[in-house]
Amino acid sequence: MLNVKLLCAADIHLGRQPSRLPEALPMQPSDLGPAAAWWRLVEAAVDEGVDAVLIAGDVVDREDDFFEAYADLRDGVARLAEAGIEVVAVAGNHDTRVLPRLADALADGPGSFTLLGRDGVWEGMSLGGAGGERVEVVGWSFPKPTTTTDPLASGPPARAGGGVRPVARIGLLHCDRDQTGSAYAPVRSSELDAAPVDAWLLGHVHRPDIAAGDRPIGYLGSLVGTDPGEPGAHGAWLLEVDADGRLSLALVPLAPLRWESRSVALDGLEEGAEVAVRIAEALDALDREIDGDAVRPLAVGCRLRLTGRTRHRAGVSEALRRDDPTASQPSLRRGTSYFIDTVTMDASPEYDLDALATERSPAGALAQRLRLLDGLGDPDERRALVERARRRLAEVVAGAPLAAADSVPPDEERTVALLRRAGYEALDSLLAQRGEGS
Amino acid sequence: MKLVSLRVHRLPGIDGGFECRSLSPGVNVVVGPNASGKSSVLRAIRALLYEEELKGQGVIVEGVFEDGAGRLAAERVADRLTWHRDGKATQPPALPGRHLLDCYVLGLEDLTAAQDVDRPIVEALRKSLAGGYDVQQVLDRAPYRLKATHGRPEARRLQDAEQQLRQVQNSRDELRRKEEQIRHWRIQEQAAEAAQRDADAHGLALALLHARRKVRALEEALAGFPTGMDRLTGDEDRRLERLQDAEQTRLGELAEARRKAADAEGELAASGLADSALRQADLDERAALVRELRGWEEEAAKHRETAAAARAARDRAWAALQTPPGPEAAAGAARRADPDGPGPQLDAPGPRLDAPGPRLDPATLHAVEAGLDERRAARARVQAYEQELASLPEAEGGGGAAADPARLRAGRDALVAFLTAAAPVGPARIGGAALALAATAAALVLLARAGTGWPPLAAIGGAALIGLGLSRLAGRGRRERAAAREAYRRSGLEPLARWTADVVRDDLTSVEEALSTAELLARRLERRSEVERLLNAERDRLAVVEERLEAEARRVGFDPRHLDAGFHQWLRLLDEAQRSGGELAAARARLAPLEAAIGPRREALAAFLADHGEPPEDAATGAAALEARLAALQRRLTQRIEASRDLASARRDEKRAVGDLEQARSDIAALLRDAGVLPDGSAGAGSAEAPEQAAGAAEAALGDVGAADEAAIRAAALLLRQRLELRDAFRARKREHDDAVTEARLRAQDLGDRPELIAAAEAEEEEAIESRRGELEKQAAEGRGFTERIAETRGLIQEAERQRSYERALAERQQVAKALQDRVEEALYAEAGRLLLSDAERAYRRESEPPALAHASEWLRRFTHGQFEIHFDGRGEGYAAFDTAAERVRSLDELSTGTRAQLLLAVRVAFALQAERGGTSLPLFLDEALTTSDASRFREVARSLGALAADGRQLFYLTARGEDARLWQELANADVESSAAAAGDASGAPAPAEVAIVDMARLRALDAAVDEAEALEPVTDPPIPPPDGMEAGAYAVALGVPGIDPWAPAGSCHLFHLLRDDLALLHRLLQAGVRRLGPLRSFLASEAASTLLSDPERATLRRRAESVTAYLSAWRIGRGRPVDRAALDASGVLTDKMLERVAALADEVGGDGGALVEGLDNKRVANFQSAKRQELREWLSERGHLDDRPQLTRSELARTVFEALSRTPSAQAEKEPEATLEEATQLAAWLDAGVNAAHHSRTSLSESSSNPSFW
Repeated sequence: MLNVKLLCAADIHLGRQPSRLPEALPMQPSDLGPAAAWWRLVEAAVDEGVDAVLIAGDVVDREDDFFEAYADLRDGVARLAEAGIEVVAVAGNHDTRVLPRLADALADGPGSFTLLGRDGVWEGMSLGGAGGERVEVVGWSFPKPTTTTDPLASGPPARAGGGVRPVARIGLLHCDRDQTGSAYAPVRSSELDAAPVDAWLLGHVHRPDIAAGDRPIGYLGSLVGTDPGEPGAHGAWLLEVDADGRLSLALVPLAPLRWESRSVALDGLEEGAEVAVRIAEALDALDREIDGDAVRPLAVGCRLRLTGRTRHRAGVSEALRRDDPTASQPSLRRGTSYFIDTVTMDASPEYDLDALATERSPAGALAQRLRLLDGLGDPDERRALVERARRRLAEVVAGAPLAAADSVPPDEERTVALLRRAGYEALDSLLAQRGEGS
Repeated sequence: MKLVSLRVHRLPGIDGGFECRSLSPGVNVVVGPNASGKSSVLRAIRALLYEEELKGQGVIVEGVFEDGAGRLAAERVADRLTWHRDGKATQPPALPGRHLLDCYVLGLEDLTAAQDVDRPIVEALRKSLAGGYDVQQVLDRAPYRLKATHGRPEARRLQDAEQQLRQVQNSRDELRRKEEQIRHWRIQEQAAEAAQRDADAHGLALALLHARRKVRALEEALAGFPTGMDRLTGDEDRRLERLQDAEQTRLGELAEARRKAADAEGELAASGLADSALRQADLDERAALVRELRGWEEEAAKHRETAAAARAARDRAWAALQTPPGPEAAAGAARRADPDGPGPQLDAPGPRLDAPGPRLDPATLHAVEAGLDERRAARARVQAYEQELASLPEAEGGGGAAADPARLRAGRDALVAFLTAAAPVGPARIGGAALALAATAAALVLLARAGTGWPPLAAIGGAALIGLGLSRLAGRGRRERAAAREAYRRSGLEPLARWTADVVRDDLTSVEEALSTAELLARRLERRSEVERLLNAERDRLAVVEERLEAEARRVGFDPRHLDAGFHQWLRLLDEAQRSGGELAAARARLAPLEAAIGPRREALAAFLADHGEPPEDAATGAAALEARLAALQRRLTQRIEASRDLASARRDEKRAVGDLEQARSDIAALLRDAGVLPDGSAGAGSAEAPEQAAGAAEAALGDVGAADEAAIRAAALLLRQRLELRDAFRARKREHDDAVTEARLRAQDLGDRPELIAAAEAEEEEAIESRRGELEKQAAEGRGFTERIAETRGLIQEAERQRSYERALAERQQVAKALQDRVEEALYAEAGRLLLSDAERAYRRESEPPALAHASEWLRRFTHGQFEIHFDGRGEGYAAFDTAAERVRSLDELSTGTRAQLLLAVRVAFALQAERGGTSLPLFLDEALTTSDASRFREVARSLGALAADGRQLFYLTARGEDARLWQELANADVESSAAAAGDASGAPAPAEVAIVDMARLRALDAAVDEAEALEPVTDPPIPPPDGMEAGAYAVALGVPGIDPWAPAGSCHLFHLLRDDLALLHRLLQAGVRRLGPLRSFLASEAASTLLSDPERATLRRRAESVTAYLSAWRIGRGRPVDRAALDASGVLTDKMLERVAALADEVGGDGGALVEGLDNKRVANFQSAKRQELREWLSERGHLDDRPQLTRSELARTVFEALSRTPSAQAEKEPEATLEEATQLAAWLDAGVNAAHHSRTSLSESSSNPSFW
């Protein structure tokens, strides 16, 4: 008997394009976005010969995207239908309008698309494998874009008794796990654990946390990370159910775009300009890691954090300003374009901040404030400094023309981080005036 | 050091002298009108202190000072300044440098702007504060310095992107609405389609009706045409013409065939062979015989030529053979072949040699040639040997011994042996040997004596041995020479005269020469013998060859005696004669049978030609002539054959022409009959005869066509043409008719399911059908729009799916927003860096600033009630003022005159005090320095200066204003009260400074003396009313509290707005001169705050001060900064004329940027270009006059205040959140009221603060 093969995904967000892409990339943003990833999924499903594609919500990015994302979804479902592959989905908070519409439009068709749990009512269906095995999929869909209702309070239904029992029961749900009061279908982990299903495939949180095991429960993650906040490998998950109901789960990294964060240690740097070499080495190492992926991404965006300890902090900052790696041409490694999104200087200086803070000079006074920010010294002084900075920074984000960005004023933690980074760089510059810390 | 008295005796610029006595050690207010001498007091004191002052001006001034050591008198007479203490001259006191004197003398002009005197101060500060770093350089560079336009392009792009997105969204919404309409439109469309179908059916009914009518009309028209018109095909006239042309052509062909037949018959007769049985084969056979005959004749001629040539060759050979030295037989033949006689005849018998016989064969000829060559070679060798032999000497019998080489060789060897034998020892050689022996013996003796160990006897023995060797050598030479002489003798040569070496050597030379000669002769004789041997052999070989040649000559009949004279040539001629004779005989043999066959062949051929009319001239006519005859016969035969063929052809043509003619005529008749113009059975009929009958019939038809038939045919043709002229009209009608019939039939078929419409059409109900169709068409037309809408909408949907403009607009907005966010991050980073660096720098300055600067700053803070602090940046003028209310640094130019004067006063006084540290202190002189200050500020400055005076500093204040004197008096009185009160609580406050009034007018007895009673009456500022149980609103009115300008810095906020719940504290602060938030912050940082306020009060004030700032920042969200004329002017977008109009509109909309832009978009300002509108919109947006963000609600503002209150550190224990929330709510409400009051006052043009109920 053959296994039942299901390709599972969530948070596709068709209609969205990736952000923070450099213009110099050799491909269009649309080649790297959810639509491209969706079509990779479709072709992977066909190539793999899966029995069905399961989607745990947020197929589209905008609930009013009835034409563009809808068209991609419709055409992809049609392609899968041609290959005899069913599509089973639940609606997430983004697609409470689009998915029902698609289901209605295809209602008279061959039945290749099934929207489970419409109007917030649990619903189940059976999927038959090539060998006759039957897997039951239960799901619940968002009835409206926001709901504080806990879907598990009303389901899913208990396992049916008698008749032909399915070998496995898969739960498909878009929800906010362990976020009490969330407007996006809050559920508790304990409820998930207690529910009568063999696996929970969740959507809503874009960072995947599902793990293979006897009973996989977790978020599938977004199909492709559209911004640096979604780092790591993304794609679909191949769930196989054998004749005895045993489950196996594996990530299929289909995302054409991948984001990564890496630390670049600056220890032992001979001069500031050498940072470019360290960065290139970090990208080489990253490429070696990615090399094992079955489907390589077309582009990889990196956020780099400079760490370690160096006496060339000012030189590094100057080198990065002179040859800004975020503005450089993407580098090509085995067909994948690597570009750098941000470079954050978090490397420690080699000077003794405590000793510097005793100096009667502006640099000494600055060092004292950095010590305060590092948690050394009078907490009241630190609090006063931070509050003063928060007020000023709040005015920065509120002032024209930057107010148009609608930015939230930095909170204390971020304010401290900004002060520390900017303060250390300023201290580097001051010390450079007397030939130190260059 | 204080001035006790001053006496001016002489001072330039003032008439007479005067004296000031009883000066106060504290404050001296020198009051007097202009030109009363106030400045003279100052000048006189300067002249007393420094000799450099008023030098060369004849100054005479006396003054008494008091210092710690007692009285000190100064006398200035002209340029000489002397000092006395206790009547004795003394050294001048240690005064500050004269360059700092200006720090002590402060005039109004000095205090209105920084002067040169400030430079040393600035330099001193700069050095002190540099700290080894250039902080400003860091601040002026990236990443801390941002462009003024930072973020502006991105904000503009974001605005554009959002607008684009809204447009796309609107477009998508519209498309979505249309899509939802499709179902409805589809229903309408279907109804319209049904109506259209019904209308179309009615149209068909009308078409049926009209077709039926037309059929009827056309049937009537067709009835008027001749019958049979429908049989015409339209091409009858053309076909008839073609047939008639064919008829004429056939007639011509018939005549031509007949003419050719006659011509052929004539040619047949002319050949003369018309009746002959001669065939071409016969002729071809004879031609072959003639060709064979010609071959024979040609071969016979060739053989004759060959025979003649052979005979000629034979004869030439014979003729040549007759020439000597030929053989005898050849000579006989030559005689018969007379060269002068005729050549030999073919039939004549040939010469003897013609007959077959022994013939020269090639081997013989070759052998003769080889033999001759061999003979020539042998003869040449014989001759050569003979010549050599002649050159060689002949042998002589018994030659002399001397010539015998053997003897000569033996003699030579003997002589050589003699010479080479050991030389005989002669006396000379023996003498030499003896001498050598003696020398050797002597040497040996000497060696012995020298102690070499050799004894003398040994030496003598050695010498003896040498002598013995010499003797043996001489014996052997004699024996060898004797042997040599004997050998020479045995050689038989002539004996020598003497046997000495010289003679022997000479003889040896002779013998060797003779030996050489003898050996040469021997070799030549040996060669002669060899040549003789070879010659004989060669002669033998020649003889053999010649014998062989002679035998061969004899064999072929040649005289051997003439071998050398041409045996070879003779042989060749003979061969030629024999060969040509043979050829002649062969030619004769071949010719004979040919000549035998040629005659009969000629005869036979001549007989054949004669039989057919071509006889040859005679029987010997050759083949060529016979061929000519045969050719003539052939021409005649050919003529007969061709004529016969032409005749047959002509007969066939004639027959075919007859048939074609008949057919043409039959076709004409058939055509006319088919056209209906010739009755059946008339002319031309019956053409279907059998072919074999046709020829005969045709013959008859050629001339026998009846005249009546022809006429009928012509008449029929005419009728045909007439009918053809009607045919087009007939056909048109007919076609119309047929079409109409078809139309009617088709329409009836179309209406198969609508019998009622068929019936209506048949019933001619045209009007009813038409009317109904119109109604239906109208319905269909109305519905057709839905089809177009559906198609259009579907096209738009497809286009939308393809274009993805929504996705792109979203992505663009997202990308631009991210870019702007990056700018925000950069700005935050820059601001964080600036803040931290500036903060550090200020802290360092505070810690490191010179005491003078600290004092100056403190004084300025006190002068201005905390509103200003000194800011020193080490650049430009050096110092400026930090406006605590506006929270920004103001340069001196930006300060009011009074504030600037106070700032400079504070700085200079502070530095004067610094300069004199450790030296002598000087009085301070203020020359109307505070004229521009208001009473309150004057009081503060005066109080500060009074404090200085109380500390022991003497002060001179020069003023023309009596009220200044009053103010000083008032201050002194107040200080007296204060001091008394302080004495009560033992706070240690200094005693107040004494104030003396120096009335210059009175002192100098001038008319305009100050009316002390009037002018010196104390005046005071309006009192600040205490709250005394008033409600907050009423107290605000009493104070004249302004509303809160939310766009002004928070520092300008009146303290009332945050202390409505503690009016007493408010009153206390106001009395301390602290009215607004900015000064409050500065005040809270000063030491004075700790005396005026308790710790909880200071904590509360700090918390509330920060919450006001937070509130105002939050309030501004979503609200554009008001637009006024100044803002519009600053935009630079508007012309002066347009500025007035737009400013008027801005006033009209209350400065609301959004309303202003909307008004401009709505053309409320005429002629304002759209480009300018956009430019102004962007400028307003960039400057914060437009803010698209949603405004915060009251509760959100209260939350902001709550957060600010919560995070501001407090000296108190942490408040309960509920209490803080309550305080925040209350404070937010007060601030709301303050903002509304300002708004109300702006918009209602009334002073809201005058209405207690408003508050």
